[in-house]
Amino acid sequence: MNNWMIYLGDHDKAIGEVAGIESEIINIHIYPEHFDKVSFGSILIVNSLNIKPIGIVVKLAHLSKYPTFTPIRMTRDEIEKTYPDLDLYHLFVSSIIYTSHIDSYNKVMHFRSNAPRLHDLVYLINNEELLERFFKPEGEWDFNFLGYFFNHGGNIFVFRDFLYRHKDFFIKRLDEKEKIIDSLIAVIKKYKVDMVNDVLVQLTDVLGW
Amino acid sequence: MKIGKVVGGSIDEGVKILLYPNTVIEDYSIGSLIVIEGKKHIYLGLITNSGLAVSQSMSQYIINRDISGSVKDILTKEMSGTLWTQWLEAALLAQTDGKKAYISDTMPNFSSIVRELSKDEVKFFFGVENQIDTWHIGVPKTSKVIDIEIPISIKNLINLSFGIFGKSGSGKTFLGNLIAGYMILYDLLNSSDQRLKLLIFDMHSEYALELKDNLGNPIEDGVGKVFKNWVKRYTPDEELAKKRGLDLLKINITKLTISDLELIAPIFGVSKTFIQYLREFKEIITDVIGSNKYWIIGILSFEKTFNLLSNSTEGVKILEELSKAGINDASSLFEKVYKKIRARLGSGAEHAYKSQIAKLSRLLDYPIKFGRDIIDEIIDNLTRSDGNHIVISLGRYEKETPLYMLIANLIARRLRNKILEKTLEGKEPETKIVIFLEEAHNFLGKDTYKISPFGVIAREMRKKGVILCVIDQRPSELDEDVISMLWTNFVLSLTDRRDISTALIGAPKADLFIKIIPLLKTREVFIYGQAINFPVVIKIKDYSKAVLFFKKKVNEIISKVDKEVEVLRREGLL
Repeated sequence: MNNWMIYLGDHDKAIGEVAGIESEIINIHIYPEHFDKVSFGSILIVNSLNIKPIGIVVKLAHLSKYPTFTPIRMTRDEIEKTYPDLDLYHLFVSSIIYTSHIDSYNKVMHFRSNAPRLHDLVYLINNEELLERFFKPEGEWDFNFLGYFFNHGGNIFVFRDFLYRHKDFFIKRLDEKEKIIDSLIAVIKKYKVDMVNDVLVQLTDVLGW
Repeated sequence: MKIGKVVGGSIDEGVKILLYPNTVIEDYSIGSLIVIEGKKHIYLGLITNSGLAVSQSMSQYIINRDISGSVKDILTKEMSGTLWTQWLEAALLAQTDGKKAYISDTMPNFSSIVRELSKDEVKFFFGVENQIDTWHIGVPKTSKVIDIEIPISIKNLINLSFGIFGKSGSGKTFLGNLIAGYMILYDLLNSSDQRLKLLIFDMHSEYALELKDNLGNPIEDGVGKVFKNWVKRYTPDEELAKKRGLDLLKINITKLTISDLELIAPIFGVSKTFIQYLREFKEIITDVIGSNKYWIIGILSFEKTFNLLSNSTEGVKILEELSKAGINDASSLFEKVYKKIRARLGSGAEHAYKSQIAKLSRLLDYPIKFGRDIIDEIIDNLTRSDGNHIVISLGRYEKETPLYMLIANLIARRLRNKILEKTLEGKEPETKIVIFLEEAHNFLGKDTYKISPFGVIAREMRKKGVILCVIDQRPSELDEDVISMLWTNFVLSLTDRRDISTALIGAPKADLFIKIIPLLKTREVFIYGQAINFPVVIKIKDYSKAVLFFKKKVNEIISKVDKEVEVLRREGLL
C-alpha cells in the first residue's frame, strides 16, 4: 500500500462526500466539523472505487436545509451555545473542478477519468508528501491540471487563492523556482495563453518571485 | 545547424523563413548565406531582412512592473515562438540537384528546412581557386565564420568593363589594389598570347606607393610597389618623383583639345558662352599665329605663359614661330586675338574671351611643358606585349581634379588613337588593357560621357581589348550607358538610394538586395556579375595578407626566371 492508500483508508480523515456531479464540476457535501478546513484553491481527492478523482475548490456554499431563513441576531459564540445542534439544519457544500485522478496503479494523472459516485468519501490533500506527489507525479513539476482548471471556470482569483493556499509548499522549494515557473508557463502557454500575464502577476505578488 | 523552416514567399520576392524558437536571431545578419533543403533541390539563399513578429497583448508582460525580473527572464526564454515569432527573408541565389548549380528558377517546398551552409557547399556553389584564372577575394558572409574563401574569375572579369562602387572609407582602394594584384599575377602566370596590361589612374597615390589609413598614415604597399618589376609609375609631382623614384609626367599643354577644355572648364568656373565659342576662338587664334599647333597659347595669352615658354628649348621654338607671326609678347597676342574675335563674332564673344581666359590661367600652375611628353612612352608600354603596367599617381596634386582629368584624357585619347592605328593597319592588338579609373564620374558622368575619350573607350574599345574598371563613390552620377556596360559589379557600402539603385541595376532581383548595401561594413562587398558564380556578400581578404601572398608569388616568379636564365647561359644561348 502506498501513501495514497494509507491516507484514503482512514475514514476519519474524510472531510465530506460526493453530493453531485455535473460534467466537470463535482459538488461535495462537507461535514460541518471540517468546513473550516476547506477553502478556495484547496485540492480535494475522492476515494472512488477504482480511480480517485482530484479537483480544485472553486466554490464554497453554506445553506439552510429548509427553504426559509430566520435571522437570530447573535454572535457566532452565542449561537453555538444557544443552538449546539444548529449545524444539523445546515448544508456545507463545496464545488471542485475535476482536473486529475489517481489511476489503478496509484499514479497521479493530470487528466480526467471516470466520474465518482454519490457518497464517495472526499479527502483534503494538504500534507507535504501528497502535495509533492500531486505536483510532481513523475518526479518533475507538472501543472497540466491548470489547463482544466482555467478552461472550466477557474479564474485568476481562485488561482491567487490556490497560490496562497500552497504558498508554504512552494516557498520551501525556492531552489526549484525556475523549474516551477518553466513548467507553469509551459502549461499556461499551452491551454490559456492569454492568461500568462495575469498568472505571472499573481506569482510575483503571492510568492514574491 | 538547422535554424528554421520555409513558410512562404516567391522566387522574385524571396522566401520567408520562420526561425526555431531556440535559434538566436542575432546570429543572422543581413547579407549572410544560408541553405534551404527543398524536396528535390538544395537552394542557396542570401538573407535580405530579419525581424520579430510580436503579439501585442501577450507581450505586455515585458513592461508589466507587477512581474518580477527573474520571472520575466524565465518567461522570455520559455515563451519564444509563442509570444513572438522570429523570421528571416532570403533571396534565392542558386539551386542544385546535386550535380550542377544554377540560378534558382524554382521555389523550395513549404516547410523546407533552412540551415547554415558548409565549407563543401561554399566550394560547390562558388568554385575553387586555381591561382591562374580564379583567385580568392574573401570569405562569404555567414552566421558563423567559415574558414573558406570564394574566388573571382579574373579571366571573366577582364572580358568586360566592371565597376567598384562604395562611399569614402568603405574599402574601394583596398579592393582595387587586390583586384589589380590578381590581374598582374594572372598576366604573369597565364600563357595566353595576348598579354594583359593595367593602366591605373591613382589619384591618391595608393596604388603606386602605399595604402593609407584614415589619418593618412601608410599601412601597406600598393600593387605598383609590390609588382615594381612589372609596373612603371609616373607622377606629375616633381618632388615625389625625385623622392620615391617615380617617373616625372608633365603635360604637353599644346596637346590639349577643345574637348579637354570643355571637360575642365566647368570646374574652373568658366562660362558656358566661352565654351560655346571655343571652336571659333581656336580658328581665330590659328589665323592669328599662323598654325593650329599652338592655339592653346592664344587661350593662355599671359605673361606667365611667355615666361614659361622662354624657359625651355621647345618653348623657345614656339616663341620663334610666334615671332614670325608678329607676336612677341602676351599682350600683343591678346590684342590681336580679341580684336579679331570682336570683328568676326561680335562683342558678346569678345567679352566672353576677355573675361574668362583668366580663369584658365590655373593651368599654368600645373606641371606642364610645351614639347614632346612622356605619354607616348606610356602608350607604348600598354600596347606592347613586353611592356609594363602603368600607374599614374597624382602625388601632391591629388585634389586637383582638372589636372587628373587632363592627364587621363590625354592618355586615353592617345591610347585610342594608337589602337585604332593598329587596327587600320590590320594588326591585332598585342595587349588587353584594363583602365582603373577613380572618380569615374568626372569622365563618364551624364554631362561628360559624350565628350570624354573614356566615353569613347567605353563605347567602342571593348572589342579592341580595352575595358574600364569604373571606380566611384557616386554611381548615380554616371551616365546610364556606362552602368549598362558593366558586367561585374563590386558594391561596397552606399547610403544614397539613387546610388544604391544605380549600383544594382544589373543585379538579378535587384530590389531584394537594396536593403543589404547600406548595412555593409567596411571591407564587406556585394559582388554580382560575370566574375562570380552567384551574387554574394564577401568580407574582402585582408589586404596585408594578400600583399604577403603577392610578394611570395613575385619571389617565385623571379627565381623561376633566374633559373631559366641560368639554364640558357649554361647552354650558351645567352
